[in-house]
Amino acid sequence: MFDVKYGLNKLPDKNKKEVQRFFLMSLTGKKAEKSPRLNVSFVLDKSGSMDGTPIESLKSGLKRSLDVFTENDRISIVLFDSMVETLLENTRLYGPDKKKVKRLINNIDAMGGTCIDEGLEIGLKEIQKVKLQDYVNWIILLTDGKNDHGSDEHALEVAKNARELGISIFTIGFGKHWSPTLLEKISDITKGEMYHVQDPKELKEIFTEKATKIRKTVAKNVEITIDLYEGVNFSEITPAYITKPQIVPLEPVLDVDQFIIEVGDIYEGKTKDILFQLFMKGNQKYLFDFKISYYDTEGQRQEMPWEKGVVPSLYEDPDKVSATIDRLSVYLQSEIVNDLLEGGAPEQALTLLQTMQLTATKLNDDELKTIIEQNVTKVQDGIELSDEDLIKTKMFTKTVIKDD
Amino acid sequence: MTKICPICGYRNRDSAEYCERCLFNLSDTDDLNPKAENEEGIEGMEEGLGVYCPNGHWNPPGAKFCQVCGVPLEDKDTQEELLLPPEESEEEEKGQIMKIYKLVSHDAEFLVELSLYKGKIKEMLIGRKSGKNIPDVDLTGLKGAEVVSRRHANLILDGNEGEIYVVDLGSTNGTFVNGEKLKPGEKIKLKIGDEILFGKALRFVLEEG
Ligand SMILES: [Zn+2]
Ligand SMILES: [Zn+2]
Repeated sequence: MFDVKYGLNKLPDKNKKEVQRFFLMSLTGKKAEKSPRLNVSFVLDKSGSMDGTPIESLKSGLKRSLDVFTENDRISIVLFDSMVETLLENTRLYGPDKKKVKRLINNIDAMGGTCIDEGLEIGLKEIQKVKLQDYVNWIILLTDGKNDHGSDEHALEVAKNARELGISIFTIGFGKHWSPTLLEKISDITKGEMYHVQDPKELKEIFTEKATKIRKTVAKNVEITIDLYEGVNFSEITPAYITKPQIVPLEPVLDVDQFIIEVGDIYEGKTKDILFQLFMKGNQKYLFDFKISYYDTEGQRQEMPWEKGVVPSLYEDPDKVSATIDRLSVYLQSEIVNDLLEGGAPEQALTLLQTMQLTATKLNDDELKTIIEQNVTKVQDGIELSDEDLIKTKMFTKTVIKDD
Repeated sequence: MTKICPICGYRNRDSAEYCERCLFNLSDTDDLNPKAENEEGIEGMEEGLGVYCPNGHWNPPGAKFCQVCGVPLEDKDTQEELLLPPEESEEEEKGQIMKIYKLVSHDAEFLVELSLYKGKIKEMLIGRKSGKNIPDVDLTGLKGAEVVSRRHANLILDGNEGEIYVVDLGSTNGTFVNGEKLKPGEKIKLKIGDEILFGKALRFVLEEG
């Protein structure tokens, strides 16, 4: 189903008692034998602020995306403003039905406020109307605003329920007034992904793109089980992150004496990188045993054999691990910057931003560098960062590989 | 010696090459150096600006929550007292005992006495030993301690109110009071008979002393 590659940023050092090392694991999806069946629930914002070009683009994008779905797939469409409406219950789409659905979509009107969590909850209800095991299940959530008429806490609860059912959520923020914190948490909890659509034109493509991507799933709900050897420990504060295509914090959960880490889905031809921060003895002989399990596209649970006694060896390209660490540092520092600005400590925030600026230069990432430079200038001049600045910063620090 | 991260203020263990919290490359500190203050840490740190959280993490002035462990920081009045790291204030005389509690492990094998001194607030770190850092309540070696974090939770002995509080420090496997999981940084008042779980396997009961 996928290839596994791994190794450290640096070998341990026998002259030291304890060393800190980073272990990178890359999972690359192989060619799929059979494409999965999709079960997708669109949960879409039709609040008043979407009126005009945005809602029209959304409608045409949604209609266009229907072509990706075959009669073996399921889709449902839930619309929300301050209220929730199920436009299309979970259904299979035969050719003639598509026309009917397109007519339904044409009638969507933008009005009202924003209540994301209620929309999500209904979307989650719709998606569960089929036997989840037989499908690759995704909620595609789009919003252009903050959850003014709803509760963020409730939204996160729904996301947790989704995760427990093995359902992931793509969050799409449109425009410049949505909350990157909320959408990020929702996608992170479910090991989904997060997107930013700036131009209404992109709304015409985004759903088709996402549905096409999901179709390339080769393994879902991938789990890594790790049994550490004596002397090796995870960092307690920053233990593990997905570092490609987007940065997502991971929480190793201890089950009896093994750590279990959920890393989401793998797609054909795409690589997912996972970075572990470990502390170990300078003369550490073995790091851990590990095992990868997942659901295949037919819904069968698969377990790869245990890989016993992983020794501390270098990743084939140790520079890539260093670059990954740097990349993650920019993301983590950016989070701290937000806290500092909120806590009223702009000078400390500036020091961090300048460090991030240097790292972005080193990483040769111009977009990242530009947004950080802008933030530096604003903070220096005592100008508050706008919603748009925060959205862009979040997206550029989080997204390592675009279109992946 | 701990390595204080010049970027985020986190107190790193000796072996850290990158800051454990923000992944700043600590070896960069010597050469790449936007400002000379890097050697002593963030500007303001050595001048006594800013505040230390109950666990001894430095925070910039005005911070509402500890950047490192998430513990809420008290308002300005009480902050003044916290300006020195707690280690140094431990030397003070203890004063008059107000109340004694006991924290007893479920199998009654392990017992800690918790004495509240009148008018004093004391923090006790609960966790596992790591190198030379020994927490106030060291659970190393107990059955089930493998799932306890090095800096797992803090007990706050409040000699003003005669109350004991527990704060989870963002531990990997959590702190539970009567089955309820604490959020990182959440402070819960304990009462006699409460059951406190550190990690998943170490169960304690709070008793009268
Ligand atoms: Zn740091
Ligand atoms: Zn702290």
